[in-house]
Amino acid sequence: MSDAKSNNVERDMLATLGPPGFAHKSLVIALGMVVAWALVAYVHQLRIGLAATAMSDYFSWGVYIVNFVFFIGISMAGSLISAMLRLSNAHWRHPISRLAEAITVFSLLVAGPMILIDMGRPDRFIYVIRYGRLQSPILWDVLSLTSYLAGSFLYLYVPMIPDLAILRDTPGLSRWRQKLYGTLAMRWTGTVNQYRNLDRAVSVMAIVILPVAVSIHTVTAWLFGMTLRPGWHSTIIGPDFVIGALYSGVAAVITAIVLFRYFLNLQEHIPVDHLRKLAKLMLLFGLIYAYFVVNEHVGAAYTGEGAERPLLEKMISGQYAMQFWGMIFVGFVLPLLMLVTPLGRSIAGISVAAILVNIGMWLKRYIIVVPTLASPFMPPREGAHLAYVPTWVEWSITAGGFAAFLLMFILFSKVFPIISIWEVDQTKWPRLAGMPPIPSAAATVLP
Amino acid sequence: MKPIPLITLILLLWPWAAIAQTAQPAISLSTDIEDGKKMVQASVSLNGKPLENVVLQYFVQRTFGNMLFGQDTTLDDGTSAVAFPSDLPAASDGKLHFVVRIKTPAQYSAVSASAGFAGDVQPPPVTEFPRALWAPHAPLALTVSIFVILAGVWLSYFFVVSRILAIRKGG
Repeated sequence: MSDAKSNNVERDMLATLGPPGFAHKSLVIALGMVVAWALVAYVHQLRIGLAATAMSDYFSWGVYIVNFVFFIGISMAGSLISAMLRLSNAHWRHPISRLAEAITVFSLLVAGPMILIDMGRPDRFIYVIRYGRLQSPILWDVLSLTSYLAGSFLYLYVPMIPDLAILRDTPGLSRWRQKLYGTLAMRWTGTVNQYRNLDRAVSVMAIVILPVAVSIHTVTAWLFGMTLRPGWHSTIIGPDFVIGALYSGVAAVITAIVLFRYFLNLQEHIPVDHLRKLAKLMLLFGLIYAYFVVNEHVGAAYTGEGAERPLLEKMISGQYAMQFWGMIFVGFVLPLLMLVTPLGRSIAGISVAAILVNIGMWLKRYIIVVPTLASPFMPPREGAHLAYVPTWVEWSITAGGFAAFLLMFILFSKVFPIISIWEVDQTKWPRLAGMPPIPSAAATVLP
Repeated sequence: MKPIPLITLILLLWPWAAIAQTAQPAISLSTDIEDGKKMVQASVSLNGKPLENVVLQYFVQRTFGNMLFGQDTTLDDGTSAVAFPSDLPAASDGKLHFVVRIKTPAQYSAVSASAGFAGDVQPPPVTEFPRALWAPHAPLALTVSIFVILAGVWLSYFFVVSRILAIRKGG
């Protein structure tokens, strides 16, 4: 990489940390208002209980669990882009790995509270720990989620240490920034030993985070799969969730890249080619996931087995047909068709396909949760209409969840460089340490 | 006429109230053999003197409450007895726990006594639940698997933290 371009990365990243403009402030205020409204809705729910929602004795889960599964799904982004591509030595990941790692952390920070909100009585969460049964997939999910969140924080932080040192040494920063970067930079000066320790830490995290990520998606799938309900109790539900997470995770990364690339003027550092590579990954995972979805429904349709048949009828032509076919067209048919045509090689085409996949995957989670609950084994009481229509409280909290996710992302991008400076410009630290541009010792340990 | 102060009234009535409170019959329980038959016997006395014609109800404690198994009236010596429930399994301590309560006269109906005597039918031995998915304790293989996986993951995290601290030390 030429020195001119190396300096550009650092300069452009430092520029993104400058004072926020009018558009930035307006967006933060707007998102903050949505989050505040969601808090008002949540306080209302705390006051009158889950009666504020459309959940009932039949629909014990609703959009909160849909949101939980959706955000857990897109959290796969960090593990995929950063860890898998790091282990496969794909260097094109460098400018986008931090975005992906941040998506993982922020999506988990939204997913976790959705469970507490769904519980209705958050004070009872402690009972899951005090009286938790190791046999219960719910406790597995708690253990898995906390391990994944802790690992994701580490995996976001560790590769950021050299960049934090760059920021620490940048003159003219405010006092709080100097203090923050100085503390987090861990006295990094770019010695060979520091590189070696950094490489070990990042390599271990890249290996460990993958099975942990697979476990969280599998265990989340088992929350459904271990229940003897039509549509849930399936042997392929674990891998089904993992592939679905990979699909929606790549779509989330593409969406984030397109937005940050445009608003932070990062076109030079994240070329279209990177988006095309990600689009190919999205196409691959989309096709595999479509294969899983076909498997999921064809078996039930062909055998017409007891409880499965009415569930399938509800989805194909019944009360959930709109959501089901919406999911098929928006989540699979349209984006996959776009990606195999020349449209899928343009930024606009890739962006639209990724947004469609995001919407389709939320609908897919809705289809997983709600129609099964509308198909109970016990006949419903006379006159009961088995329908679930979320209330304003549930929609408000859902909107708040998405707004909180975006807000965390925007605030993060104002405090930390969204592109890994030292990974894009690998000559930076050896040069500052007074060493040759790529010293032989450091070159062997550079990830 | 001047009204009597309230405090004086309380002080005057206090001893009477105390006497009225203590004037309650006492019930003592024992077991006895009558005509070769095991009996549960209750003796009722008031101020140390046997109380006659008191109807007593005999209960035995079960898991979800007290089960009535007999009723008898005290004789002139203050005793009454009913047959020992030899067919009832004892509690986990090997005893049958009896409760005897006065039915009449009504003013003594709050008076009761309880005692435990060795039962004739011992309870079935308490068997521990096996480790199973449905039981209170998880199967050992599951428990070990979860802890090994968690230990592996968190030890890796600690290793990463140790590398971060090594970076801080400059090497």
